[in-house]
Amino acid sequence: MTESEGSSFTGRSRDRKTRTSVKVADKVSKALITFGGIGTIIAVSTVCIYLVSVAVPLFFKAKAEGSAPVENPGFTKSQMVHVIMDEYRELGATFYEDGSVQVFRVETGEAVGERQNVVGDRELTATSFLTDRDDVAFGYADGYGQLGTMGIAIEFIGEDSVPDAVYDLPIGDTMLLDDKLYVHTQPGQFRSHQFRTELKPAVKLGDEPVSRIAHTIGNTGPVLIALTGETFSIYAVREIRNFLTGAVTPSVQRGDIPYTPRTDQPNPPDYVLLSKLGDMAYMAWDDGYLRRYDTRNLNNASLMQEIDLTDGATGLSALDFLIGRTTIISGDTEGYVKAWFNAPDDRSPDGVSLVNAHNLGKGPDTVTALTGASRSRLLAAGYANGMVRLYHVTAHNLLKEVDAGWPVKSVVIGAREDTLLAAGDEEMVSWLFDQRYPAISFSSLFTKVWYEGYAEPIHMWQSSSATDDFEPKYGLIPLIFGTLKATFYSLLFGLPIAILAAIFTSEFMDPKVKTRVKPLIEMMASLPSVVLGFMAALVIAPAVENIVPSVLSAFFTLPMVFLIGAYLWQLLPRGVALRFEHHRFLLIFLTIPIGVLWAGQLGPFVEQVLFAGDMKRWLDGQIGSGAGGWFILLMPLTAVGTGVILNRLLEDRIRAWSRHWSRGRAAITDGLKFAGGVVLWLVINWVLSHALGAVWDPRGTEIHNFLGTYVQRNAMVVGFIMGFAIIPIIYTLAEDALSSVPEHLRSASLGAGATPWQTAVRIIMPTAMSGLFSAAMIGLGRAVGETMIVLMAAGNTPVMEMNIFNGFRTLSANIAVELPEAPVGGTHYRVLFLAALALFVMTFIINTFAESVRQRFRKRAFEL
Amino acid sequence: MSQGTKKTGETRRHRGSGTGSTTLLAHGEPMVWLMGGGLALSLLMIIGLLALVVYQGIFTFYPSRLARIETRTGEVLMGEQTRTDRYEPAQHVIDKMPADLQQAAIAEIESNDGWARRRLFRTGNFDLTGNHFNWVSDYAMAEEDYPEWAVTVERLTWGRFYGFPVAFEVVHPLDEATFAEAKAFTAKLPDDGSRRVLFKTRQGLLEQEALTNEAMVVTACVEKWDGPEFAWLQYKRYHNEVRKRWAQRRKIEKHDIGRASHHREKARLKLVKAELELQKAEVAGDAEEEAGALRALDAERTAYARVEAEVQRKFEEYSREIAVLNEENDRYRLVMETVQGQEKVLPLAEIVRAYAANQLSFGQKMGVYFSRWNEFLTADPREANMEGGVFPAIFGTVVMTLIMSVLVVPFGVLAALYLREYAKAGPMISAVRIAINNLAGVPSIVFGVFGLGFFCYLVGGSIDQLFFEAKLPSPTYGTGGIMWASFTLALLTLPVVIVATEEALSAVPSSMREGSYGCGASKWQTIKRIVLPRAMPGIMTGMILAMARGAGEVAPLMLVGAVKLAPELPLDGIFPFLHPERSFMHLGFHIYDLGFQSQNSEAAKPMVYTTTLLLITIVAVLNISAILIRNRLRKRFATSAF
Repeated sequence: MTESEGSSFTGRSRDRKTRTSVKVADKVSKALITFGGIGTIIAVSTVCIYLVSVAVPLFFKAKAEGSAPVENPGFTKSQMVHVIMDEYRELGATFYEDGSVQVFRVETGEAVGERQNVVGDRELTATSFLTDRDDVAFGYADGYGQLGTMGIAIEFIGEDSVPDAVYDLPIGDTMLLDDKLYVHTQPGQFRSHQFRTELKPAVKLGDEPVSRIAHTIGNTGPVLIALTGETFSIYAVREIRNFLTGAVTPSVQRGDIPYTPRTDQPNPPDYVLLSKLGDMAYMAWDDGYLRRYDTRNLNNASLMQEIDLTDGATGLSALDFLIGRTTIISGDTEGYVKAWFNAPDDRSPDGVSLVNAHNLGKGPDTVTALTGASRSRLLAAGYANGMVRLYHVTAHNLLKEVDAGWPVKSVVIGAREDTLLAAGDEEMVSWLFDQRYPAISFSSLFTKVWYEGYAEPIHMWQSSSATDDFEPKYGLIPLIFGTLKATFYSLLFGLPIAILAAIFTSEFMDPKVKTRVKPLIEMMASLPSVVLGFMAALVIAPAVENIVPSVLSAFFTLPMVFLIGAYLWQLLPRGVALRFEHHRFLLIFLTIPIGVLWAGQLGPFVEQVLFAGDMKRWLDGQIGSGAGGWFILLMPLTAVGTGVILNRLLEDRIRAWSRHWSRGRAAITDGLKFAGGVVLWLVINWVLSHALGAVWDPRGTEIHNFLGTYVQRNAMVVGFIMGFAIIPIIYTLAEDALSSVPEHLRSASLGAGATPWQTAVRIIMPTAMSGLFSAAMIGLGRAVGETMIVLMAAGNTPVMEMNIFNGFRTLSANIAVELPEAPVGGTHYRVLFLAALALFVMTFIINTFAESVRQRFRKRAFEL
Repeated sequence: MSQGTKKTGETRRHRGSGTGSTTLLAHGEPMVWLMGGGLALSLLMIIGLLALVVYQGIFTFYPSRLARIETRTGEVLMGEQTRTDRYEPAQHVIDKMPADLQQAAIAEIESNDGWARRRLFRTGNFDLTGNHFNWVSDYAMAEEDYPEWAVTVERLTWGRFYGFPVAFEVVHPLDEATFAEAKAFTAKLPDDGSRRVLFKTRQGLLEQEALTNEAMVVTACVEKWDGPEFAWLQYKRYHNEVRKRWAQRRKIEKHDIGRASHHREKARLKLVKAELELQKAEVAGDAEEEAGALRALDAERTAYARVEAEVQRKFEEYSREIAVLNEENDRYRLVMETVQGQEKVLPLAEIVRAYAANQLSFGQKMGVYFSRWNEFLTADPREANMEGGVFPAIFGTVVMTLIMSVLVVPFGVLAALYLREYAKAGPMISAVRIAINNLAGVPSIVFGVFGLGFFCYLVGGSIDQLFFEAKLPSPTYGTGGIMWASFTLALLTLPVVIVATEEALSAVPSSMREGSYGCGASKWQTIKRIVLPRAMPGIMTGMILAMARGAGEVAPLMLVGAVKLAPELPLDGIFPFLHPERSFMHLGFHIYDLGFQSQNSEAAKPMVYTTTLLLITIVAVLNISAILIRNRLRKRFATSAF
């Protein structure tokens, strides 16, 4: 149209040109709108992309990069028994069988200072190290034992107090000065590393050599177990500090642990372990046989359990504790790494028994070294063929496998969990690794996980706790369950009401009234959900708590009064009925108070008959039988069942009989049929509930128990209010669907003599079915993501109980509660993003499905 | 089509088979009633809920009478009745009761099927008794009356005080005056004959007659009005001016001191920035740069020292002013006595409002009522948000909603224009359309998560790194704030605007577009002159609906910046006036916080109800105005349509 040359089909050439400014404006606006439009659409899709980008790294594997292997600096003929390393990966130290220590630079393997003997003149026969502390314990051939500390001491110093030689060190560089390593970290700040050992005076433990020793730092002080000859003893050291002089005087309390050498294997045990609190001692032999002793009472320590850690087939080749020193990790000659802890067990004399909770699978060769990390449930295993594996125990995650190239004698995980060091007989190598999110795997998020101290694998969400060695539990299933529970109960309440109301509005209501009623319900949709949540939590929950039986009765009495009203209405002479047809809705409205009053009256009776007179105690399971609960639960089902059966059997017959009856007679017969039906229903329900109650008590805390202890903020209250919140959306969409059924269908049906009811049920509803379905789906999508109502009224305990009288925690409420406190970028943070992504995807799928069904329905409705 | 006819055919068959001559059963009356019941229930629930909120919200501020209760056990209480309740008294409680109480309890319980009625009284005086509320069972009550001089006092701290005025004191400090001087001073004070004058000396408070020794040093003289009538009269006389001084003091504290410390903070940040520059230069190792940075640092140091000195001087000046005001205010005291006989001296500045509850006429009651509404709407909250006003929350809600609409409308309209007018229709565009439609159904908390992660931490964190390095590690934009909240809600409400605009655009008949093209208008001219004006009502509706949704949404705000108590408003008189990084208060969050997080949810309830009423009103007004604007614009264009 804006062509300047050529002629148009009229044959005349154009004599006017479009002004440049118009053309420019057109171009600019097109560019702007296209850019802005596409930009906006992209911005919206960023939501999904960003959520994915935060959540997906959870599943990335750990990374590791290694340094070049270096020759073991202080190696001589004596064997290395332990390696330590500081958290900055600067200094390390190897400890040898003869009690000597060689300090070295981790990065280069370069020796720092001379090899030094730390234990003195005594002949070292037994050692005990802890992975998360510097404390050590030594046992000697002369029967003495010694406690102390050994580690790399780190100090932060300002530039005023460093030696002059170090002062000009460039930032980031290191310098060794008299066994002390200096690092210039930031302008004006230095850090020093130095190997330091400090041993307390040795104490005589027995006359014979100490063959095995283990120790821990309990709540009151160090606890020690030692095997001297054939005596196995436990020592609790209590350090009493004199407040005036500051001098520490240790007092040792000793107890004997019953120990008899094994008949089949005369050697002393190869491993001795002591739990963190000193309340459990273990001894194990190379063939996998383990004894567990209860040492809570020093004077009465006793053998509790004997167990084979390797199924008898293979030999045990490594044994240590995991963080918290409650879980034992074992490695065997076949390469299996397993984790064991004490799970509650009623059959065991002390209430617990050691179980194999995690089997991390078979490695490439014999496990030769095993160590736990000091901050999380990470473990490193070294194998005879030189491989080193990094596992997360609870998540069963093999994080990384690296190759040292020679048989691994000892492994150590740095305190920051970013360094791994493996030492062989003559060499050693270290890796820097990024563990990412070791506790997360698909199975740890979505399947049952056996957490330390629990009797069996469970689904659990518990993201934080007050104690340090607590393990966060990221099982999403309880939250998903809570979401579904909330959705289920709210749909159970809201869906029927909304659909019924929509059909009534669309088919049976005076159009004048309809124009007033519809906006009122639609206004309900814009009610802020925080208001509904507040109502649920602070008004309805406390009010309902005292009148539970009456509330339950209302679910019976309200439909009942409507039906009774209808049968009474039928009794009216035809003329009267026609005259009041317009006021029928008002009448229906007025029956509600009657239903409510009736429910109030019926409540105590119901409580008496079904719940043994006291509902709360009945729900706790103290009194009565399960039949009463089933009676309530089965009522809707049996009502529908009885109704359908009666209709099938009687409807046509009554119709046939009533052909020549007067209206009154037919109405009375219909009414009687209804009354009989109700009686029949109650009888069937009674019988069924007692039959079911005899075999299956609906009360309890399991997932299949629908009733249980009453909690003030519960699923019933949430279902009620959230049902209320989704009624408007379902109602509006359903009513739209019903109204958009073409008028000519309706007219044709009515014209053919069908009653409005027949038209509604046989013509309108089948045609609009897909529209009704999509309305229900969109309502479902709303319920899944609703936050404020569940946050305020659901109690927020992540329990997995179907119990309608107990609370729950949904994905959305969980995000609202926990996200502000989750450290940015951490595991918890990303898991919450994953939860948000799950919500996003769930609602998006539900909505898209519903939307496409709706579009198709609308298309079809217009074609009709 | 086919299904419809089939069903109709079926009906006909029924009739044809001759079973349907009676129409009664065919009317399906019971089912119709059940459906009607569904509708009636939903209507009743809405009406009930609205009625409850409106009733509670409206009557909360109406002053209620003060009842004095004497129980059978001899306890005396005074307070406002808040609600009644029915409960089942536990047997072990009844067993432990004294004999006459037990008798009364058993009698009542027996006549009521095991239930008893009790009333909750707000008895206040938390500082003396340790609780705000007391339950009184009907059977435990021996006597109830409404004392004439019972006074309700709303205080700045400790919640309400209920009691009887005993005396009113005005202290006149005298600087080491002699007896004669003091006497001369009191002679000058106006005397209506209803007060006594006391003199504060080292021997204590003395009556005038006791001042015999001429050498006695008087440090203050005290005018004292005894008896409730006179005390009350004086209270009324002085309260206003004392409160005015108090407001003045608050203004200095909040406004002037805030401004001064803001000034100092700015100087400090400059200093820190200079220090950072120096550090960077040191790391880089450039000697020249280092020297320059050092010079700049020195300059900043002197500048800071100057500002610091100036601010310090201002602070001193302000605290002097405050001290003067406080001293003046401290001279006025109301002496009250609780119903239990405990005496309590209330400094007049502490009293927000006081009224003799049982003497008020209807007009006076309405006065108290409106003064409370006034406070609610215009004042800051106090006592952990449970008393006072919600002005910052109203302000935060409004500002956030406005910023949100400024953001959402242009982009929503652009996207809709693109989708409807420029994009080529195809499966891609309809997929985008469905996706946008569905985004409206994505839970709001998901947008909150996105807002926190993307806006606050990613974008805000980067902004902090680039421009606010000196303030780190305390975040400026890297945490929740009103700007990020508005962005998040804009994203959340974008689908609403896009869908509404698209619908409006598609409702413009294509004949109008074609006519415009036919006249030679370009596409943009057509859109600007023909399409957009016709679509305006729809766009406005979309915008207002988005505002209504945004104003009522709470879940995402909890993550991106709504807080319990924001010390400063996001808009104030300090440059640059709008502070988009500040966290803010929000009405919806206020409801959540008060109802769910507050320590004493019973005492918070009135505030929750009024806040709820306010929020519902705002949302309803927005919705209704959307409908009205739509209708008006429709009418205007209806006349000018082709």
